[in-house]
Amino acid sequence: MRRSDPAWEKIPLRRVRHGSVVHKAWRGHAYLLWKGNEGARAKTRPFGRLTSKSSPSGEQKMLSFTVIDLADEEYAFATRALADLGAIVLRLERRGSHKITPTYIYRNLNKHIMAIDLEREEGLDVLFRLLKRADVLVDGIRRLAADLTKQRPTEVNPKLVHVSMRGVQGRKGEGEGWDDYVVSALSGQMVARGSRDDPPVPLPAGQNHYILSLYAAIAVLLALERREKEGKGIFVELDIEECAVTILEDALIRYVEENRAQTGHDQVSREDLFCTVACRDGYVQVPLLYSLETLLEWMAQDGIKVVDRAEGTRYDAVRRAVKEWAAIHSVGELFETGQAMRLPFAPIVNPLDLPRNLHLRRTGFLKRIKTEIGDLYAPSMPYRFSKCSRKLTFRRPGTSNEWICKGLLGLSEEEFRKLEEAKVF
Amino acid sequence: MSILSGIRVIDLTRLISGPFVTRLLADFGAEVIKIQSPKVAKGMEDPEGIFFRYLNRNKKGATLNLDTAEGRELLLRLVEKSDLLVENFSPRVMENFGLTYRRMRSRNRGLIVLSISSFGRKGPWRNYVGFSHTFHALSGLTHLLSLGFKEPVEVGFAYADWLIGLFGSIAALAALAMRRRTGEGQFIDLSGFEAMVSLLGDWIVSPQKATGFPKRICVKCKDGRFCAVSLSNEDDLRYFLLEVAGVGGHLEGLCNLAEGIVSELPAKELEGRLREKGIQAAAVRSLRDVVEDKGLRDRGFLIEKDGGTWLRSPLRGLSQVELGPAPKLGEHNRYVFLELLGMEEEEFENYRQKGVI
Repeated sequence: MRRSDPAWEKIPLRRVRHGSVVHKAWRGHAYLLWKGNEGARAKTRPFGRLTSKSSPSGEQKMLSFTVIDLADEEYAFATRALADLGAIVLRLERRGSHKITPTYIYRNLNKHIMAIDLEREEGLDVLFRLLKRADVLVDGIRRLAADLTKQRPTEVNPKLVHVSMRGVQGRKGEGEGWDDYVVSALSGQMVARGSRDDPPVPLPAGQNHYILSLYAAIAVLLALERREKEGKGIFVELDIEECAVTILEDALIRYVEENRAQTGHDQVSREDLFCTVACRDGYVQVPLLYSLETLLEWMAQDGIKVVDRAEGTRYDAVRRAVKEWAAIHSVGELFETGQAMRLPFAPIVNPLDLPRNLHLRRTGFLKRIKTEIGDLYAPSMPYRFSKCSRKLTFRRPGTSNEWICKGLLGLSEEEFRKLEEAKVF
Repeated sequence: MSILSGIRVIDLTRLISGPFVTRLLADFGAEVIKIQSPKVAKGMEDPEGIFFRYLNRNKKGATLNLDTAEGRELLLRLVEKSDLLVENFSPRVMENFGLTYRRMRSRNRGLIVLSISSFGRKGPWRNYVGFSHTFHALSGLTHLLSLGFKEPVEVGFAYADWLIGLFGSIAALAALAMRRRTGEGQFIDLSGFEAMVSLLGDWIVSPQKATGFPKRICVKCKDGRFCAVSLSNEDDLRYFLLEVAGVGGHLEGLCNLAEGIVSELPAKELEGRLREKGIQAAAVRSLRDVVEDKGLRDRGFLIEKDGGTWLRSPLRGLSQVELGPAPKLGEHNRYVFLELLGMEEEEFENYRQKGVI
């Protein structure tokens, strides 16, 4: 039987051999692999068939479902996380609205990006047809699918998993998109800082968008598990403020359990765990509580002694001594020697220097991507699966239009050309 | 039926990142069995401690001494009955116990092992040690937090640990989804350092501009509190400076001035004035404000139970199980060893007396 034989798709085998790789079947059917040159191959394959379990190299994919991504650019990382695991992610951009920047590329790696005019009826029709066949829709915060389709996406496709990332609920401005700086203030992140003497410190720009995005990816995976059990779609709504609060739960626990009861303080501090001090050539973070005796011995060898050991003031004295001691060393000396003694020393690093980090490059975590705006070193996801390798590809918006329309939706060449001529894409 | 009912997880984790992964799975119905060694159940792993009950809610608890060959064999017997094992020891610990993935897989081909470590199992730093704040420093987070300050500053919470937990949950759920299709388990190597770096990707691929809009400032207010303001455009900036701060002049010259403004209004009032004009602003809230927030409580995100204030998962729409307590040390030993492993009473007592259980 040749691979192009349509009967291949429907063989109810438990295991089908393809090349040197054996694929187990899902629901008793074997699915064709999708291989390169997508536009030319695509004809009328429904979505289920397209969600191939293997990459062209024969390596298996972690996920095999299709996602429509309507999220704002700030929240595009949610579907990037799914695309990296093998999900087919179709990101719909408004025609002419996107600018190719390094950040845009980073958040949209491994996706198929369609540039489409959703103000036009023909464009909306394409969206509807995609929604009918997709497994998952991710949207937020301004680009809500309901605004576009004028009906609930789960009504368009009752089996759809719809995950919506939303602004702060129940407050003025909901749905307008919430700046993560303001979310940082609302969630308590700004006051949970390293030292009580510091002014409010927000997380770097965009962090709350990323946190919300990670929760959205988890929501998709859990919702699909539920769909598997119950056979129906579901709508899941995520609130950016709630997600932001969860990542300082340790500070909240300490506040609830310790500070409120004992002192009434409404701030917490981690200054007893680490201190950051100046070396000859930069700053290094020194662990205080972790193997303190080893640290004191090391300092004593350099002639630095902690003189004040009185109860309650010991850490102040240690901190003063560490400051004096670090000033005679370089960052590299303290980091390498400390780590060799299994003490978690760490230099304060500028993120722009990370592409030169040998560890990250050797592990294959940072990957070089060639793009029209130059080569980038982009981070992968932080996990390695024994059955799936990490690959990063950037596809320009619009380059997947033909594949999506003809391959996924089954449009004819003529229908596709008409849409192109009408400037829907 | 819960979403993850039927999934059994062996939890060999400690501190925050690992227990957070397994807690999320437990919140959605997985049966999580927290394995503890009585002699190391201290600090954050002390069942009587403040963190333990929050990070280990809805889990079952069993004791096993993995320093003994019998303890390790019992763990392997448990592996045969489980779907996922999560551990966050240093990379060499499981190998030193002889509990390699290969050995565990030989007992259960469908087993998924999620191994969380500081720097992953490959690369020159694989044996380095690190905690949340180490990753903040090495990833560039501390550098970015400190921009505009004379000395480096830090966040006061274990930010990276929670992120690692989120990535760990994604990895575990993806592996479970794949196993449903293929029947095969696999090994997942999750690096804490890389998790933090992933979230700073914007800054790694290119320098992010701090100039232009939106302009973000933290205004000190009359009542001593701060108000965070995000100005999207020139109109917002003009309104903020001229109407709220009472500062006149040309806009170009005012951009830098905005940084040092002290408002004559209390923080809440300033927030209200700005929001009325559609400008995003919020009085910087203390932890007390957050814990007592009516909106978060009304929505069921924050709840009071058993003398604690609990955060539910923000995954609204997906049914979570009822909040259950964290296990006491070895509380479910009889269930785990007698019911699950089918151990006889005599054998159980024997192991207990020998200190294996």
